[in-house]
Amino acid sequence: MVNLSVEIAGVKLKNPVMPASGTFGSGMMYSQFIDLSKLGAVVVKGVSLAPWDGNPACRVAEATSGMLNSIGLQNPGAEAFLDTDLPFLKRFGTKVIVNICGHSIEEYEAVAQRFKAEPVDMLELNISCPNVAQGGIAFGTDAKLVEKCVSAVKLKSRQPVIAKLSPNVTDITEIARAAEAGGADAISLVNTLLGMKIDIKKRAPVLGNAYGGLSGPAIMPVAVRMTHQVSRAVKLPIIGMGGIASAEDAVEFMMAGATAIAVGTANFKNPKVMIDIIKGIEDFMKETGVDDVNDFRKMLS
Amino acid sequence: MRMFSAEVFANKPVANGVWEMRIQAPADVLAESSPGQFLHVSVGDERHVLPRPLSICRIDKGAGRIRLVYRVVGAGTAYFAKMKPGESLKAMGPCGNGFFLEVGEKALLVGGGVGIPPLLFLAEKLKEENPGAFITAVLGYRSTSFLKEEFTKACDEVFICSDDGSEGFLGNSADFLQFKLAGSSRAKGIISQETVMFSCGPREMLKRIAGFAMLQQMPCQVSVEERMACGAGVCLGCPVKVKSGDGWKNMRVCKDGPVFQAGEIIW
Ligand SMILES: Cc1cc2nc3c(=O)[nH]c(=O)nc-3n(C[C@H](O)[C@H](O)[C@H](O)COP(=O)(O)OP(=O)(O)OC[C@H]3O[C@@H](n4cnc5c(N)ncnc54)[C@H](O)[C@@H]3O)c2cc1C
Ligand SMILES: Cc1cc2nc3c(=O)[nH]c(=O)nc-3n(C[C@H](O)[C@H](O)[C@H](O)COP(=O)(O)O)c2cc1C
Repeated sequence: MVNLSVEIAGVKLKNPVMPASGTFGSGMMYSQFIDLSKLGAVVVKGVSLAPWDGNPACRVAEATSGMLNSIGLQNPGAEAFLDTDLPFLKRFGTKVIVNICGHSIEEYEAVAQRFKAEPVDMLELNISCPNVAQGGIAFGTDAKLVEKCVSAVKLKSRQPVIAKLSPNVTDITEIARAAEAGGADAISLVNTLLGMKIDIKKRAPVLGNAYGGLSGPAIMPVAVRMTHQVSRAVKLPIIGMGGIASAEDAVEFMMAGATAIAVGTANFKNPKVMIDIIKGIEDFMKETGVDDVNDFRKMLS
Repeated sequence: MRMFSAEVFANKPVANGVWEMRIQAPADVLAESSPGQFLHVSVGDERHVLPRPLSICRIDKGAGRIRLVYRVVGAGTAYFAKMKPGESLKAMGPCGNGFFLEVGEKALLVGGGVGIPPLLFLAEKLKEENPGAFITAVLGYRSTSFLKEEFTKACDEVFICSDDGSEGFLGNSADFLQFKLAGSSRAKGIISQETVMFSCGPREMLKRIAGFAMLQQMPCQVSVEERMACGAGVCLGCPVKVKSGDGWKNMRVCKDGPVFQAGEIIW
């Protein structure tokens, strides 16, 4: 028997595989295809305090080995999530990680506060949201703001806090250190890379919002590099993601230094892909004589 | 809704740039399918991460087959057009909410381009539910028509339009409704509040059909298109603005639609 379980900030996951926020809803739709209790955790789509309408259509476009999205964090708000989605998820006995977003530090704090007494296992802070007070720049690209936001949320929350980093920065280690200084319990990375696609016949951007986030296999080498850099810069456990579509991809992230991994875009083509990845990691461990999934982190020569 | 592998039974061009593919699908997928629903079909290579939505054109329960009729517009549909009988593709479906089968005495089906295929399944289903119903179809093509014989069999009258005038009325199906059908004496009984309209086609056309239906006070369902990622209501990538109270809200084309009441949509 090989060990697949990992621990992040004191929370034990039965395996290192979970969905990436926003690509799995709250698990309800995809539960008709996969048994949610088999996953290491379920990470739900971004939840804000009040409902957000999101961006205008068109919100998705394909790119070579990837996609762009500009959903704009459409979500029905924390109350709706607590009324319907959370009770549903709790039926599966799986760990629940709630991805939270806000337009200001006060909004992030308010969401964290709202979840304080609720049965969720961790909060993931999406600091890639536009910061309205600062003229729309993303929180996650300014180290001082990252530290401030993380420490403010930490004060209001009972659950461990994961800071989710944006790759759209010059030095990812600077941001990771700021999150660590703010008191983050773990780091997840990467969010999407800002991109654009133009319809040359219409002479117009494809996305209604012009710019959108690039995800999928196209970004994987960037994400693996950043995982590697951050794992050497901070002591916090890392949830790695960006383009994972197979067990081999997942192992690559773990060798780069990730304790756990998340699967996003690949769910759209195959909603069962995470189950295949869990099985594939186990098979790979048996084939290569690795007893503990946690050993991958220490292997890189 | 299921995820399944399907073997291609036949795949051939039926008009300029338009192909017809018959796939062998599981019995439960056939049993669940209703007109207006679609399959989310994966492109079988790694470079294309998003499946392509294609409407169910017809099902053949006896043979266990689903027919898809598609226009080659980009890499995904070009990939489908290269598939040979015996090869297999992966799909999810049936997806979404199809047409609500309001089976009155009269139905008016209005299709444009590759919005025409799902109306064939609909015509057959409406006849099955009410054999006495009078079904009129107005079909608008770019140029050469396709599926014409089958519509002729399934419907009581069929009007063909083409953008280039190569067949039937010169103009699109919305033009035909507005300038021809509404005025012709034969159509008197069709353009009435007792007739239910069903439409599928490009957005600009649907918008005009919705306006026509509103003016004539006819009930009208439309099947709309939007770019989508998951096809299952998960990612919120395919919003459509619908009226809600005094304002509006986003609904999902893939899950809440693709069929909506024309009067609900904010165009
Ligand atoms: C519910 C629904 C049913 C449809 N049924 C049919 C049908 O029966 N026959 C048919 O020919 N076409 C149909 N379409 C349109 C069809 O999905 C697109 O033509 C197809 O996805 C184009 O893929 P591509 O790779 O060839 O083109 P590309 O332009 O290379 O595609 C790039 C991306 O854009 C998306 N895309 C491009 N055009 C459209 C479009 N018009 N609507 C939605 N997404 C698009 C693709 O899915 C892909 O993700 C339907 C669309 C929807 C939403
Ligand atoms: C459609 C879509 C919606 C997303 N929504 C969120 C979100 O709500 N919150 C968040 O932190 N990240 C969101 N992301 C980013 C993913 O969680 C993930 O970081 C990114 O897509 C990279 O992983 P992937 O290449 O496996 O998709 C979204 C990504 C996609 C494609």
